[in-house]
Amino acid sequence: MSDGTRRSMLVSNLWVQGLALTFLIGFAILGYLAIRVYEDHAPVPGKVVDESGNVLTTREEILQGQEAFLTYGLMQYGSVYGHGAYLGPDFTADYLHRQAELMREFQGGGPEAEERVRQELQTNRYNAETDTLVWSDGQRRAFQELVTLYREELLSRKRSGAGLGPNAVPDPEECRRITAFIAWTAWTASARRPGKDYSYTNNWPPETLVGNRLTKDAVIWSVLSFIALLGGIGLLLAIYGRYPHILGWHGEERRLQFIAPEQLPLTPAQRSTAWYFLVIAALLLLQTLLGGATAHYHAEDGSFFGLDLARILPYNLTRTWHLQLALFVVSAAFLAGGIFLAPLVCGREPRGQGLLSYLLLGALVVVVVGSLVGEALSYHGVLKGSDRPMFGAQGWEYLDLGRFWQVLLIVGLFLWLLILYRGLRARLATDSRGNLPYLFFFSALSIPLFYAVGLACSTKSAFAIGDFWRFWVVHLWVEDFLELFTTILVAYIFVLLGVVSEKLAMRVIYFDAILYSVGGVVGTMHHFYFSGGPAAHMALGALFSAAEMLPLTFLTVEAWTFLHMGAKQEVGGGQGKFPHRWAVMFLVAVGFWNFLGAGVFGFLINLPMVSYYQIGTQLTANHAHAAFAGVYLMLALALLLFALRYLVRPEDWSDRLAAISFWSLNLGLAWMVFVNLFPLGVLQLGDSVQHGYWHARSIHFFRDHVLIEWLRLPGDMLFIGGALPILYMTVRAVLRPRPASGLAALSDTPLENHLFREVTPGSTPPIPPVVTP
Amino acid sequence: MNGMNCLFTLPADLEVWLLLGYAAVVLVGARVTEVLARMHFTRARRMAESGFCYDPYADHYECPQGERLPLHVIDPHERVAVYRAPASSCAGCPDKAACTPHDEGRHVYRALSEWAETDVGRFHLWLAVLMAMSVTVLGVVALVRWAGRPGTGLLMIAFVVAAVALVRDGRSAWAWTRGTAGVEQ
Repeated sequence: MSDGTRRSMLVSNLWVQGLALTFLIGFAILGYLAIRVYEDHAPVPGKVVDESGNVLTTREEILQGQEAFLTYGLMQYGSVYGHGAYLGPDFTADYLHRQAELMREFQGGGPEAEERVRQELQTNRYNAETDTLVWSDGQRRAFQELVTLYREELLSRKRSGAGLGPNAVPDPEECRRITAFIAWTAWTASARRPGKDYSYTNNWPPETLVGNRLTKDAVIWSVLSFIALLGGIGLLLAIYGRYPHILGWHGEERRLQFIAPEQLPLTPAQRSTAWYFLVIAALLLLQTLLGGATAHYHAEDGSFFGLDLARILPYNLTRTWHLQLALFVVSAAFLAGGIFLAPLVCGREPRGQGLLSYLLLGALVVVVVGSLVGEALSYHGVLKGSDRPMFGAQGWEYLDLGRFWQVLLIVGLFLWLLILYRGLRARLATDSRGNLPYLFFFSALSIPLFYAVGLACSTKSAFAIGDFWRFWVVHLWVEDFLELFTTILVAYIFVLLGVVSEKLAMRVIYFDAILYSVGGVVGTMHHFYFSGGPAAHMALGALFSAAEMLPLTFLTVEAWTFLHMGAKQEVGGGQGKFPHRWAVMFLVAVGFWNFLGAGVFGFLINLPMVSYYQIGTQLTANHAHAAFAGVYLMLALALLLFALRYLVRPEDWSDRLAAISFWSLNLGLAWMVFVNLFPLGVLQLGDSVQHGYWHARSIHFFRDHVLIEWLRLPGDMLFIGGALPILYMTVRAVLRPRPASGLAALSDTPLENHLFREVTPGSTPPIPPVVTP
Repeated sequence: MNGMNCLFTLPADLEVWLLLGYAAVVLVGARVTEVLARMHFTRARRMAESGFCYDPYADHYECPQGERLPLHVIDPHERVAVYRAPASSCAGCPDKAACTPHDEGRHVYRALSEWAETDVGRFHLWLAVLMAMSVTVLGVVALVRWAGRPGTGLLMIAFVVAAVALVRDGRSAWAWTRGTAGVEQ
């Protein structure tokens, strides 16, 4: 790698080759699956006719219905194919069940009628040549009844209830098209794939009335993925045992004296991050409050302590904002973390970085405010026609924001990349392309690139195709590339603090990146078992996602070793004291939640035979909260506290406030998980197996378990309370910034970039005399 | 008689079985968290010592080349014991360059803190407390909901076990937290 002017590669080239090979194989498989989903997704028929040839609905209407479903925020209220929100029904399962019951009733009831209905629903009457789907008389009548029922019960109900405001979808024609879309999803869930004995959705949802049972593929791949996990753990243990000094952290003799935070000269761009952190803290508070309101709908779906909240802030809107803000908080923390770190890595800052950084912050605020307002206007029906997905909401869960805001956000992320590149350019020019500065830059590059993949998903994509690309963002962006960026950022911080050597950090980063990518890339498909894609997605998704547990297990062990070692490598007392006690504690929390939330809770629901019954239940919410809030939010706060330590005046720093925030957020989250989400998810899974998925997802399930829903309140209060000290400290950092004397005067002056001094034993401050043990 | 029957009959309701299973998993999970964290603390120390072997009876380390590192100083404030090899021994050692960056003899630092005295230890201890507390709270809810129905006895047993675990873990965590002064200002 070295070309003479560059620093040579610190670790073996084999690491780079191994990582490149892993990516190549992973993305080759994912590319193959992308082709398969375009070829084999459930068809959207050109027209749906009854047995007499009368047109009931068309492809155009179904896709318009899908767009209305998404842009009115119904994916953030209930779900289709189990994907979406958890308060409302799963519309696919609900329609399928109601349809089968109505059809049985039309045929006079009894076991014989039930069998006829089952046959009728399983028969695939789609003709690919004429692009026409024929519905039986029973299906036609059920569709007509359910159009009315959904409109009156839910979409255009007269009063607030079940988490929605009155007249949520005012136009009856739009209600009909939405029902046509839901009816189409239900058809894909019951009609058998040509030449197969299972439906387009691999027989999901479980529904005895249509004869949907777990497929043998689901059982086989569940067992194989479990074996793969056990085999993978064994293999990794063997490798680990054989090469412990290459793969793991281990001690080096270093005695460090850390620079007092107020002595670090700050660049203009670094100073600008104080504003980022203020915005992040304010958004975090709002995000947690909206989370509380969203959770409250599970306890009281008709009101908020007597207030008709759903009229203004229905469940789908609070949940959309709750999710979007979670992404904004974490993304903004990464942006700020990168901007803060770049001058430390490079040792200098080019002119104009501060200005660019403020420009980026302005763009971020515009995107956040614009997209949230747009979502509200879309859900309340203020925006019409093509303005809804463009400036309002696209409505795909996690990709909720309007297309205009999505593009603006991607532009903002590339602007951030430009800021990073300018900041790192001098260092990149002199370093090997496999060393830490490049790893930092490449992992930052992956963030806008993989977020931009979301552009392939539109409101009028065939659902399976839209969902396929959506999960590239939800899974690949979050669970692979954000995780990779996280690892590199944290390792780099510890290298800059002198706690570990660059060489050691690089080995661990390469090893982690390979482990993440082995399972994480193809494992994306574990979200896609039942969305109308072919069975190959389930097979490969299950097998590879089992391997995702491996890095989470081993990285947690490694992270703790790393932190235990780091915590003791400091010179006692006074100025040299380690200044990042609470930032490190947030990283400790990241390790715990990564293992439990992402690893254990994730694996628990990833096996196809478990996912078949549980998808979209509180077990999914349990995994989502423990993994996202536990890992990414805690990490965002670790970055925030790390940088804030240098941004505030010494007298404004408070370990007590940081401690309160740490304990409140972690115990609050643990309460949410162990008292509410996890046990309720277990009960919901039992209900799904015993009474059917539609039953477990009905609002009656939550009403039957309202006491457990109320029990969540203390945890939510604790969690919300944890955001307040952080907000207070960031306000202080902005209102009372550090005096200019401690700051870098010129932005292009090389900085003293070391955050520590290495001290030899002879130069250590006096150590107390020997105490005989 | 009915009350006694409820105590000694198995639950008929699937939800009761699921809650009992959940209680067992979380209580075991709390113990596993604590045990793993403790084991890991020991492992981390070993990794930090990186091939140096500690003899607790003689209170010294031995380096991979067989040289002894006797106790040099103890820093009671930071709760660290420092061991140092004779500078003359290190000067002639073939591994010196990879072992120590200075000429004053290799130092090894041994933390004197117990696992539960560290911030990380306290974090895991309090998580275990919260897990036991969650089962206790759910136990109360379950007893309210299913009192007098088959399975009440098993629910009571689960509740008592959780409550005992909660008291035990809570006292231990509180003692460690109070003993180490908690929040540093």
